[in-house]
Amino acid sequence: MNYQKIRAAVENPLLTAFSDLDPAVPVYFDNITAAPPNTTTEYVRVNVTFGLTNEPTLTSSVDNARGAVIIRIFTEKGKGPARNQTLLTTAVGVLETLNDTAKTNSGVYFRVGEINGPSFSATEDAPHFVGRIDTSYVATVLS
Amino acid sequence: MARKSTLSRELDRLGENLDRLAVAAFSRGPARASEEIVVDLQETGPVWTGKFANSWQIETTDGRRTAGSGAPGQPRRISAPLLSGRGFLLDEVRYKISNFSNYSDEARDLVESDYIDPGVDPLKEVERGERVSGYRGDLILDEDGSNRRTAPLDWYTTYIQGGYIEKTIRLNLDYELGRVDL
Repeated sequence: MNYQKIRAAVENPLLTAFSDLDPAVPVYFDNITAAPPNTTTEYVRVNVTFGLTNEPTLTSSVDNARGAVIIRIFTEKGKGPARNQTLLTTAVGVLETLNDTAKTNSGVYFRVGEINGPSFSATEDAPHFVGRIDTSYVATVLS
Repeated sequence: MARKSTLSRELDRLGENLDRLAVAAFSRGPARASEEIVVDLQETGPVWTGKFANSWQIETTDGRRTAGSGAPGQPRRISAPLLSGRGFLLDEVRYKISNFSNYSDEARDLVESDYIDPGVDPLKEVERGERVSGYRGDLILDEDGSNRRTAPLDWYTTYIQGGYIEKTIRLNLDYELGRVDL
């Protein structure tokens, strides 16, 4: 099992999509956090978690994993939801593109499930308005 | 009127047994799975005073419900309601698991919040760190950190999306169907 390949299959397209925006939006992954986070006006957090690995009934391959992708968009509080929703659209677009990618003989075959959210929240103390989506995934390492 | 043959009576009895056992298996399987899922959620999720962990409930489509006490203390198992006969007449048989605590969304890392240290030690082992955002479990781990958590960030989403529920249901249905003796 190559967890790093699976993680990269979803993290790299998200990083590319947000880096290509003008202005680029910083993306932080598991164990990498803006320091301190509240100094950045807007940013994206992507958490990839792993559930069952090598579940035999999923495919004929035993090199597969299931889990969740959680994407949180942090934008400026008190400015309405528009900017947050624009960035969420970018994230959802990446997830949809992953599902449109054809299966090949090598690499990682990555499929996401239905997308939950977005849900929004903000607290009195924090300077950000947060939009959150999550989805399940099934990934098979083909080589 | 011709009397029913012995074979016909045996077939009738077999049919009745099939109905009875299928109903029992398809009621007990999801019920047992629901109970195990609640135990998993209690073990995986945060346990500080125990109120959240004791606030899971199981409801059926025919309106039956069992629930935890919502009280502090070590998490306790709950028994799932079995479907009534009327429940099987419904188009859809569904067991719904939910949590009725006031801060359920915060505990499941679905929304942000502000946190106050309750001043008591949690019932579950803690990890220390510095909170990054308003999400409960969002800590940069640090032994000397000023914040504590009793479950990792996104524990709930990982459990729901990671295949554990399907596996538990499958195992329990297989078990109950395996007990059917014709």
